[in-house]
Formats: sequence, structure tokens, C-alpha cells
Amino acid sequence: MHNFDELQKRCKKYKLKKTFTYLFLSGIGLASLVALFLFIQAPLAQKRTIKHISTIEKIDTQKNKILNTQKQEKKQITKKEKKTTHNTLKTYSLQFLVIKKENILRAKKRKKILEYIGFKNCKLTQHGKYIYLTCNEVNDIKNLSKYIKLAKKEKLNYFIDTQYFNKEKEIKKRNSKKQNTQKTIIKKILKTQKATTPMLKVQTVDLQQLQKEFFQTPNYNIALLIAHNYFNKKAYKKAIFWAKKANKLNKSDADSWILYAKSLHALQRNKQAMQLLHIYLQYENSDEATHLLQQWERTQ
Amino acid sequence: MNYLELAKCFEEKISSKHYHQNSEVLHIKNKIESILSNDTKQLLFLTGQPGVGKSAFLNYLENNFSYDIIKFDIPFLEPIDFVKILIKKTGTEVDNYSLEELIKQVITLYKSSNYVVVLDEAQLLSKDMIELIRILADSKAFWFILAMHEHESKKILQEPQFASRPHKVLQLQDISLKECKEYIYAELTNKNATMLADIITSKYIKYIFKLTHGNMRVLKKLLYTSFLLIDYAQKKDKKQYKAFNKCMITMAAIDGGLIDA
Repeated sequence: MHNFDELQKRCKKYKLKKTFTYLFLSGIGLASLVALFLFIQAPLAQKRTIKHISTIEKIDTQKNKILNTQKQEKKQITKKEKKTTHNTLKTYSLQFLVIKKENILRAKKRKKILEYIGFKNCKLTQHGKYIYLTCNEVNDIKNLSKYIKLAKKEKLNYFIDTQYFNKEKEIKKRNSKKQNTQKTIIKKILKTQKATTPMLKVQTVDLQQLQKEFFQTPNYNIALLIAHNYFNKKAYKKAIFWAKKANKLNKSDADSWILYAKSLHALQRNKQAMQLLHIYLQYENSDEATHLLQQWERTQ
Repeated sequence: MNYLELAKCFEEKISSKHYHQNSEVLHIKNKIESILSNDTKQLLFLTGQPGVGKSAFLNYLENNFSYDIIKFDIPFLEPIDFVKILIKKTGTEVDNYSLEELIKQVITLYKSSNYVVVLDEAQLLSKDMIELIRILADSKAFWFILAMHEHESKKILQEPQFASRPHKVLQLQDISLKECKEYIYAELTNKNATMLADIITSKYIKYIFKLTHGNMRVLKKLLYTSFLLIDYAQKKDKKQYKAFNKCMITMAAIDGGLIDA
């Protein structure tokens, strides 16, 4: 008769061996799948971070620009304020949202919600690209305290918007409004800066590494990022070089053209800079480019 | 359930009563019948892997065939003895002649008849015997069916005495998964074990087929050992081994050398 116990042992051993090989093979399969996934995802993630960095970079430059203009306008306003203190009135309101005009529906929804909560006189005002949602416009800031409490209670992000209103000169009102909107933009940018950690990445961008990456895989965003960095460092010739590189890869995007023009302008080659923007605006529409061109044309 | 009884139904048996007819067997049988009725007398080679069921098929043919068959199971024959047996089958007395005279006698005796001489394990035939078969086949007195292993048949068929003569090769194949299922089901239902037949055929048939590759002898041996092991486990009161399961098949396969463990 068969040696039953011996067969029993061999059967168990065989089963163990089989399960082990199955596990081993499935482990290898899984590992290879993960490796494959990472291999596919790595360049995509890199692209995404570069894009993200470039957008943050944009915000950063925008912020610097606004800060500079704000400083200048502050000086102007303080001068004017000194002159026109008797004629000006201040209005205060709670500003809840600054949003691009494309997202007006979102702003309208928010307005309805705020009115439902209990805020009064909510209105949407548009300045340039952005739409501002403000509520409870009052002349005395003390009257706002009730609504500030409500906003705090509802955990809403708000900003006390001050507007200068001159009975005699409406131009002044516009100027003050501009200042306030700029303030909100700055506040927004500062908020996003605090919230988004990748901002740190911008400061630690290794230009050499980026350049290496670009030469390995030419990419518009990388070239533009390098150009921005050189521009910020006031190395305008290098900025031109990299803006050109970016422009070769994507001719339709305004950023490379604007940076190229700005760099030329910084090098006192104003005519060339304006000519460049004129050429671009013949084929594409860009608010930033037209604004910049108008600004330069005014100063000339 | 008596597993010892079940084991016995999968024992290697020669009798044609237990022969399971599958589509392959019926196909070969019909092919032989059509050759015998339409062609001139010649050599037929029945080839197949060891254990495919050649001998069982020949036994089945001996009892279920419309032609008269003279079957030789033992291939270790001397040419003179072979001729003498053929003469004796006709009821004629053998005179003490030389081999040459006996061949002449046997040819005259069978010339007008339609006998089929069947030789099993023909790969073991001596050169003298092969020569004698060639002479008898040339005389057109007999039909010859030579059953041999597929591997050896290639060598024998390449020899000039066969290659140059009219002959037919019939290859018996291993059974398919469906046939394997049908065979097990038929055998177990014959023993009134339909419940077990249902369990085996639905759950374990693929595993059994994977191990045996459709070879009838291996299949029978595997099931025979499995049932013997279950019978042993029942007698020794070994839990988990009292019923038919995958583990019992694995154990039987290890015992039969189908699995290297």
C-alpha cells in the first residue's frame, strides 16, 4: 500500500511550494506594474510641477508689479489726500470674493448664499479681468462690526474694503477703487502664498538643473521659467535668450513674447520691444500685451 | 460510499466489456472498416503514445468487429511458430515441413479468406518476424494490423521494406477534456456513484486532465490511486482525507510521479 503519511507530507510541501511561487510571481508582477506606473507618471508629474511653478512664478511677478504700482500710487494718493482731505469720504464694505470674469456664475451663486446668510447690499463690480463681490457698504466702519461677527461665525474669508469717494472729482474715486482692488489682489496672492507650499520651490529653482532638463527634453514651460528667473535677476540678455527658446516651442502663448519685450525694454531697446508686441498683437489677442504697449507708448 | 469498489473500476483491465468507446476510437474503427472493404490487402499500422489505449482498442476490436481477427498479444514469436499457429487456426494439421513449405501452405489456406492478423506491441518484433510479415503481406493472403508505440513506429516505417510497400498509418490520439469528463462520469455512474461523479466532473476534471494530458492509462491510474488513498484514509480515520478532493488527486499524482514534490 502507498505510504500515506509520506504522501501527505509531500502534498503539503508541494502546496507550500506552489503558494510561495504564486506569491513570489504575483509580487514580481505587482512590483513591475508599480515600476511601470511610476515610469509613466514621473515625466507627467514633472510637467505638472513645472507648470505649477510657472503659474506661481507668474503670480509672483504680478505681485511684484502690483506692489510697485501700489507704492507709487500710495505716494500719489497720500499727496492728493493731503490736498483733498476735506472733500473726500470713505466707504467701507466687506469683500468676500475676487474672481476672474470667466467665473461670474460662481460669483453670482456666492452672492445669493451671502444674501441668504444675512449680508445686505451685496454687489458684483468688475475691474479689468476681475470681479469683486462686496457686501454691506457703510460710511462708518463701526457699523460693519455686526457683519464681521457674522462672517467670523460662518467662517467666511473676508476683507474690509475701503473706498475713497470724492463728491467733486470722480476720477479720484476711480483711483481709490483701483488701489483697493489691488490691495485685495495682493491679499489674495499673499493668502495663496501662505497656503501653497510649492512657493518655496520657486525660490529653490536650480537654474542649471532646469537648463539640463530643458536640453534633455525641450519644454516651453521650463524655458519660460528659466527666462523669468534671469529676468528677476536682471540678467536681461539671458532672459531674452531663454524667452526666444520658449517662443520657438510655443509661438501663440503671450508670456514668452511679453518677457522678451520686457527684457528688451529693460535694456533700453524700447522701439524693438514695442515693435515686438505690435507684431504679436497682429496675430493674437492679449490684454497684458496691449496694456504694456499702451503704458510704454504713454511714457514715450 | 465504497471507495475500494470505485478504485477497482479504474483498474487496468484487458476485457473488452469495460472498454469505453470515445469518438476517437469510433473514428479509427470506422476508418479500418472502410480500408478493409475498399482497399487491397496491405499493412495497417496502429500507432499512439504508450497508454493511449492501443491494446484495449485491439481487444475491443477482436470482439466487436465484422471481420475475422487472429490476434497475437505476445510479439516474442519465432517465424515458424507464427506460421504454425496460423495454420492451426484453420483446423488443418501442420506437417513437419520447412519454413518455406509452411509459408506456402499458409498462403494457400488463407488466400481466399478475409482474415485480419493483429499483432500488438509490434515494435518488439524481431527482424525475422518483420521479414515474414512482409512476405505474407506481399502474398495478399492477410490483412495485417501492427500496433506499436508512436516513437518506434517512425523508425520501422522508415525501413525500405515498409516504406516502399502500400501501407496505412492510423494514429490513436489522447482523449480530450470532454471525453475525459464523459469517461469518468460513465464509470462512476455504472457504480451508482452519480453524486461523486457530479462533484468530480464539475470541480476537479480540469486538474485531472492537466495532470494526465488525456492519457487513458495515466488517468485510470490516477483515479485508481486516489480512490485507494481515500479508502485507506477512511479506514485509518484520517480527517480531511475521507472524501474526494484536490489534495487526494495531488497525493495520487505525487505517488504516480506526475508531480515532482
